[in-house]
Amino acid sequence: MSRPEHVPIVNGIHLSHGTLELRALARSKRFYKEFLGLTCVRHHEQAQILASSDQRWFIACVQAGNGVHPQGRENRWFIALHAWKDVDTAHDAAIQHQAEFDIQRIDPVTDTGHGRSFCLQDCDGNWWEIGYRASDVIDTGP
Amino acid sequence: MSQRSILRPRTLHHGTMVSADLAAARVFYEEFLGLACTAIASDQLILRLPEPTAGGCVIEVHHVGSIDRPQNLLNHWGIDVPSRSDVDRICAAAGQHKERYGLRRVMTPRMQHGVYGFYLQDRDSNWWEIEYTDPARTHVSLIEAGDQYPD
Repeated sequence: MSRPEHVPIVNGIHLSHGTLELRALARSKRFYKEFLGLTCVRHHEQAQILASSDQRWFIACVQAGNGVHPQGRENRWFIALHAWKDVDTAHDAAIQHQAEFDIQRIDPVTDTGHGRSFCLQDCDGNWWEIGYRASDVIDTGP
Repeated sequence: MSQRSILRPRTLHHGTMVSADLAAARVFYEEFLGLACTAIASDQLILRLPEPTAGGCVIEVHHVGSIDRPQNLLNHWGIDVPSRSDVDRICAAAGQHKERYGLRRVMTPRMQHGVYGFYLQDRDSNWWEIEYTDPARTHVSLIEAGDQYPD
C-alpha cells in the first residue's frame, strides 16, 4: 500500500531511550557507575536506568539472568570523552581494571577519520565504544 | 555522573545498529518513524528526531551485508509520543503498512513498566517501542527519584 503523503506516521516528541540486557543488576551497576562514570538508578525490581549528566537520553537495562543475548560490536553504545589523550588513559584503565569489572574483551585503540576510540565488551556481553570525536553531525545536528 | 569514576565521560553520545538495506530502511525511518536521516558516508546514516523536537538519542546506522545477530525485544529504541491515542493510531498504521515497510512483527499495545505502548520489529530485526509516558513518570523523574530498590 502506498503512502503518498509526507507526514510521518509517528509524531515522536522524544527519542528517549535504548535498552540492553544484563545478567545481574548490582554487578553491572558498579561497572556503569565506577568505571564508565554514568548515573545509574534502579527504578524497578528487574531494571535500572543509565544516563550521563546531561540526561539527553537514557539506556534502560533489564535483568535477564542467564538469558542475556550477547551483542556484537555493531550494536554498541558510544561514550564520548573530553579529549583525544583521554582515550589512551581510558584504555590503560580498562586493562588495569579488566578483572575487577569482569570486562570480557578490550580492543586496541584505533584512529578514525574524525576521532580515536576503542571498544570493550562488558560482563553481560554488551559493547561500549569509548572515544573522542571532533565535533560532528551528532553534536551539531543535520 | 560519578566524579569518582575511572572514566570521566563528556556524555553518553549515541548508540549504533545495522541495516542490510539502508535505502529501504531510510524510507521506514523517515516516512514511518518521522526521524531525520543524515548520510555521513555511503554506508552510514545518523538518525534523530527532527527540529524542533530534536534532542534525545542519536542512532548511527551502519550498512552490513547480512544481519548476523538478529535483535531481541529487550534491545530496542524507544520513541515517546504525545498521547495514548497516538499509540493506538500508530499501531493500527503499522499493521496497515506492514508490507510497505517490511515490518516483521507488530505487537499489541498494552500497559507495562508504567507506560502505554507497543513494539514493532523492522526489516533488519531492530525493535522499536512506541510509547506514551505519564508526564509524572519520565526518565528524568525516575533518575531524580533515585534508587527505589536496594542492590
